[in-house]
Amino acid sequence: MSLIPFGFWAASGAGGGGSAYDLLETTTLSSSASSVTFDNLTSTYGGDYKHLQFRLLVNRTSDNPDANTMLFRFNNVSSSGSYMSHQLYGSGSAVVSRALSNTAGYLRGALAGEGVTKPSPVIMDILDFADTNKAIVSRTMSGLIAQYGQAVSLESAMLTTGAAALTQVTFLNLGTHTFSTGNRFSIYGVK
Amino acid sequence: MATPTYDLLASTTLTSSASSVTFNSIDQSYGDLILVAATDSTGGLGIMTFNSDTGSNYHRVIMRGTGSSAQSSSETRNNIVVNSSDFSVSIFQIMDYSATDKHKAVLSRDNRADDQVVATASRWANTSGITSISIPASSGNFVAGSTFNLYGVAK
Repeated sequence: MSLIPFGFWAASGAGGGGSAYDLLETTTLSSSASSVTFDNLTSTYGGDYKHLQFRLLVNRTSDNPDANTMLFRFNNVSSSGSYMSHQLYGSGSAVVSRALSNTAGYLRGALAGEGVTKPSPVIMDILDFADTNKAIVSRTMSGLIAQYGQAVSLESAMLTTGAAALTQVTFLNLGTHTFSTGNRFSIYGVK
Repeated sequence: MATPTYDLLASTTLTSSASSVTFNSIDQSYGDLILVAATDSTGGLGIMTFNSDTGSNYHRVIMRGTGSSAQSSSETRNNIVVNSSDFSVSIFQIMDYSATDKHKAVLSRDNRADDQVVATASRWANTSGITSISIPASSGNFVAGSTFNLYGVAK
């Protein structure tokens, strides 16, 4: 039986070829944190896996609706104009398309869930993450269904500083907001 | 150390038409559930509920393209919609489904070739772990050949 294990369109099964989709790491916050970083990705996983998938369930310590954006960085690059992203998101009343160039990738729809009980789901795929001949690109689906804001978002993003293998991914907040205790950040490897 | 996951928990392929499909006694040891449904139904929709909760506890924001326009709306419902026409493919990512300290967040994509493509974020306003999933057709029946596969993903 063949295995088609990629992404949120995936279909899979218990095949004779062994597992092609593995849990690599999970960070569950024991206290609030302004950011979460995964390091040494290519050196640790590049030999065994072709693609990575990040699955997050996050919310903020603030109910401020202005906090409804979270960021990510690849390889700790934070210089101006290093990220290009295109987003298509539904706000609950309109569909919006926009392009961004900034110092980080913006997950417009990843947003902040309000209160611990209303976390926002995020699923990000990074293909060919260990390839040194390609720019690092990602696709993400995320959502927020809360009191102060709601959105569902599809996003493509790229680190525009040139071809590079992915060594590090950091998820972070705007301003002084923090991720809450119990928030979950998991990485999966796809062979 | 890597943990092999994405395990098939249950699979249903209808050999004859049926008004509803239910997954009971769902293993609580995984982090996420992924439900993959390839369905056709006489009514065009399925309506999914968790733990037999048919109250107005399902909130969603939806984005869809119909071929002529792009739309977004939000609403509170007593179920989660499953598009079901011409064997449309719907994939639901049900995050932290076994947690008992948070509402359940769901990301889904419906690919309904005859009518629309849809992305949805939903929240079931209940902190209980999801132990059962029921998917009745909104009206009429799911047709024979419709498939429903439920996977578990470790966290």
